Amino acid sequence: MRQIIINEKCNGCGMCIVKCPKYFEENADGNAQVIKGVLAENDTVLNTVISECPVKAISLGNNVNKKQLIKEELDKLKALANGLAVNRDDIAFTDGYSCITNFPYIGSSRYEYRSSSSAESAGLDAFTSRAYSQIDSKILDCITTYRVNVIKPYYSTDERSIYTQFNKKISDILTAVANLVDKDKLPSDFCNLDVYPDRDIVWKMLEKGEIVGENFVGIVKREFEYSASYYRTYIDYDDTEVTEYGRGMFGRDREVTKYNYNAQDAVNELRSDLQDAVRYAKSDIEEATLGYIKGIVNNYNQKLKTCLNQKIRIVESAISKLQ
Amino acid sequence: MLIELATLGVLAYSADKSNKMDQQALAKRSKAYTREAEACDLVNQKRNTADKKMQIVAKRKRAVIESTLPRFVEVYQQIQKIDLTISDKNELAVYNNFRSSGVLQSMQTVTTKQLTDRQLIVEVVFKGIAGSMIADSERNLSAARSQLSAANVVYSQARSVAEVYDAIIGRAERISSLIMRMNALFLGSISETERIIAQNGTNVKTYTEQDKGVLMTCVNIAAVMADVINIPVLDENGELCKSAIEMIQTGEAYLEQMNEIIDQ
Repeated sequence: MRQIIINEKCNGCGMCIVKCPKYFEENADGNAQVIKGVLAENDTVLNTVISECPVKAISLGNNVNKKQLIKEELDKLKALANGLAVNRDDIAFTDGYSCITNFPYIGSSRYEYRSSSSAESAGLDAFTSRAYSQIDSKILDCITTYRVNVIKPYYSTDERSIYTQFNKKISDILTAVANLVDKDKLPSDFCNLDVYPDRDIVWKMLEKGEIVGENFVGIVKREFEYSASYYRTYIDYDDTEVTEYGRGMFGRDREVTKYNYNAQDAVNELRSDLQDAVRYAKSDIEEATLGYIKGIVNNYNQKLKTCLNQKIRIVESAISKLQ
Repeated sequence: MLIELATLGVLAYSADKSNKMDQQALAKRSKAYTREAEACDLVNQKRNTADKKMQIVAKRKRAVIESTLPRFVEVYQQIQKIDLTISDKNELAVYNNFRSSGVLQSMQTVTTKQLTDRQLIVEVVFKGIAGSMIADSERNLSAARSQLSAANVVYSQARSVAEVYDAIIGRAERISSLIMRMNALFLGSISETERIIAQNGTNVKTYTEQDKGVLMTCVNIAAVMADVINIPVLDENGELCKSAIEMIQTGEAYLEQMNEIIDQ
């Protein structure tokens, strides 16, 4: 029994996959890869494929000890049986999530105010109702993007789920073991691993955005201490002479000074303050996230350990029967 | 005293009601943002998969052009040296068609064509459909309720985009598989042709009918391979090319026919 080796010359023509599906399969990049745990027997078709590979990418390695290979795979399994480890880097709340977008533009208003103070007050009202009132919503936007991109893999069961990927990694090793031992001697579902954490309360709340909604908005708002009136100083105003036709004495036209406001500087300042607040809350957000996730991951690890131990026992018994 | 207490009670009730409404608005916004983020995520995932599948199609085509085609060109030159009589040439009608239709040149130009396919995916599918999706979401960000309904629209549009990508992925996989199987057949045929030419030389008289059949088959496969390799996944308008379906079906039918002959 010899190992089959495919080198980096493989150009993905697929000839070996078509002619020898027993030994080769396609990898994610479209190149050929040897099916895990499959060793070369004295096979004429395989030898033809090796000699006919257009780029000479396939070769046979040295003779291998099957029992030793199984043991190596078993060691890998035992190492993975400890389960997933989650640390802070895995759930990092990077600066990209602190980016506040889509604030309204509150530029120059019409010249319609009789005094600078009334223009300023109107500017503050517009700022409060159109920008400041959006604070919760803007924080939620950042948090939700973080939740969907970073936390979701820990409470989902789709392809991007952290558990699906880990299960796949283990399944690949189980497939290798099954091919080495002989599939027929193992239970039919030996290579399948369908372990997921229980859908507990935390999972459901994460899924609905409940705990990362209010809780996380609260965490960020603790770092943001400015009231709407704080932004009054950023509201700009301007004056101009306006002719009021027929509004003067005896129906004459009159020239009056009118004021307008521009609240865009206040909006920009608010955006900047809010971004800072989100950034300052990074540590607390990560802490809270880690707390929620660890519970779910621990539950997964326990279930995984039980399942893998059972499979490890099956392999050990199969090894003992090998000559 | 009683009036003050009643006023306080009303105030407390109003504050509580306001708080509940705020919470509802927050929950709705949370749902809306989740929908939007998931929509983007869905489209991104599908786009990446489609891109990867297109790359694999390109890889298969490139592999044929870089490794199989040069071998065929050598065999083809040897076939040309064989002194074929008129009747033999008639028998090898496909071979003559092959020579006149410039198949070799068309096979050599496919790599640049493949790049166009990939550009189309990005430009047409993404900027076209998803561009309107983003514009829609931007228009509807004002209130929590309308935001949620807008988010649902965004999500349903994202699903439409995902379906387009799924169709592209399916098509790319089918073409990729067809090229792979055709290439295996082509390589086998080239090897067999090389062996027969090495055995019989350039004198046509030494060739049996069966030998001529092998030569003809090799050239025939090359002609089909050229068609298969030229199958575009998308046309210039970024739509799944309708004519490609016919080419794929023809290729698959040919492959099936050849496999049946080989199995016999």
